[in-house]
Amino acid sequence: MSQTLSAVKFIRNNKRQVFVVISALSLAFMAMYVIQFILMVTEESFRPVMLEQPKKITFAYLSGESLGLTWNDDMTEESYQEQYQKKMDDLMEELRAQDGIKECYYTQLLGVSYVPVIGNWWYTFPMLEAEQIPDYLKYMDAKLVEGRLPERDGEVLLDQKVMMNHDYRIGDYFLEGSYGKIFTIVGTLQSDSMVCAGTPNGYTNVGWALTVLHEESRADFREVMRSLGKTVAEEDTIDDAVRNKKNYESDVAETIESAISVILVVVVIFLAIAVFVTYISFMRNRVGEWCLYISIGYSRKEIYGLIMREVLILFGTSMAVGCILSAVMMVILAKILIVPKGLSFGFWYPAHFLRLCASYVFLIGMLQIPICIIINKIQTIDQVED
Amino acid sequence: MFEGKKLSMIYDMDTDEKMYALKGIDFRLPDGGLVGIIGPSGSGKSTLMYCLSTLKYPTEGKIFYNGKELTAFSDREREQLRRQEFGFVFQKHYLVPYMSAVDNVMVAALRNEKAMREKAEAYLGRLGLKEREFYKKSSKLSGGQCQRVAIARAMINDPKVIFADEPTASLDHENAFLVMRILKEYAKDRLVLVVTHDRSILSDVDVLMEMWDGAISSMGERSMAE
Repeated sequence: MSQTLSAVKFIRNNKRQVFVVISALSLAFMAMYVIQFILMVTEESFRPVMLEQPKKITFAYLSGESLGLTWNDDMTEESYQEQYQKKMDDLMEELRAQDGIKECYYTQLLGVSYVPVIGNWWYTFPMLEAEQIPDYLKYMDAKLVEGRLPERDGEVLLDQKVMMNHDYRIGDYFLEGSYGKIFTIVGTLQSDSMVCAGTPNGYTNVGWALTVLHEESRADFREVMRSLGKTVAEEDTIDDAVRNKKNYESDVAETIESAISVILVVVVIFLAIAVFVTYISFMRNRVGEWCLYISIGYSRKEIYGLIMREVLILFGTSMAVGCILSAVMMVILAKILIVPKGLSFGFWYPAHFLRLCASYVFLIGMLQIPICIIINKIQTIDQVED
Repeated sequence: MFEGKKLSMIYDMDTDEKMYALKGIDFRLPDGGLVGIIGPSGSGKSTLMYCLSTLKYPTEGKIFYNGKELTAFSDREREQLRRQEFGFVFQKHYLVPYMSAVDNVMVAALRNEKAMREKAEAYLGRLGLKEREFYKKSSKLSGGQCQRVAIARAMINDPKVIFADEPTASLDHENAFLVMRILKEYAKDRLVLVVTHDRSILSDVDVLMEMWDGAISSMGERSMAE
């Protein structure tokens, strides 16, 4: 076996220095991955409400114009409301006759906030008659896991994650701070899309809306209306899959992506400076050693190979240790912070992991500058002694 | 083995006052034996040794090694020559401080195998290191021990030539003579060049070259050294 300069010898014999470098690099790796994990909790938590639920339910806040009703001076507020209700009933009849539309209600809505690590999302749920709720839950694939179904007005069922997020218990009053003791929480639901429901009692923090239960293929409400020969006024708010997907992408995914990118860039810049300075000092201490190698016949290429093998071992080990530390930290954070707040999370984000690996490869690339400078400046021992 | 023709080495080439370390010297060294190069500081003895060992390029003149012109060798050929055929003992030991004595010897080994490691241990033993010191970091060894490790490193590949620049400078008399005895033994069938200003260690040399102000003032067989 022909002799090559061993990278392991330096690593094995300089445990303290190596420990410091590996600790710093692995902690930085962990910090970057865990920050991404925390930010992604927001994205993961909003996904059921913003992407899953709208595949089955749409809330349309329709103006009279969208129903073909125009205000004229002969109308009173009451007559306008009467005609609006009639037009709405007609529209609901038409919608129910459509393929892919399961049910329609013109109902009061309640809004509930859902607060992940950063930001918060306000989403709505319908206030239905008590007898309508079992069918609604069945359609939404929501299961009552605790408590009972609403029997009287002013009773609500909340998704268990929302319950945890607000630290509610069955029997508590929903939004007591805003409404007082009006809505009582009577049960906990479990579903993939964080379904909530309730019975009305005249109060609402959102207003009235046409609630449409539909198949995923009919999730674009404006398109459904167009198929009926109707046009929804531009200013009407249609809380459907199209709008939610757009909001999710622009308000949540892009914002978080930008935040992650900014944090990554800042951390990598600081890390690059730290690694740069540390390595220059590392290398200065070893110039005598490399000087000897050159003098006894090793080439600069072989010394470069030695340094690169050391760098790769240090970075590779740091990344492996960083992965383990990240996993441990994420489990701890999930247990103490995320699960108790009813938030969703994921551990494995391949794109982020690859980006982190790429930033470490970038750091290794950066190190080529001082390595090449120093290697070209290595002198033989006779020059040192001169 | 080595032949020098009109060999000159000029330092500070760009300045008006050129400094000649070697002034057009001619010489021929034997294929084997212990060759001592002696002279006061600044006489050019170390420069000559570094030119012969390919670490320095002479400014003028030619060096032949086994009939081949050394000065025409490429950098890669010079590296290979140093690695495969030459061994070095420098004035300071230049050991890698975080490595053990054996690992320091093995740094120069051409092959990384058990037999070489055993050979390294054998050399260290012959040079007076105790077994428990073989795996001590060189930073924990005394100056004399370090120099002996450096000599073992120079010998590990059984090179055709060993260049030793003041090899006994950091040793007491007892150790200095021990090192010279080992070099002398090695020089039985190889060439060992020892550069020194300490005449007392050169009593056993086969050829003595005396240098003065960049020139060879005398060169002769053993009898001249006595």
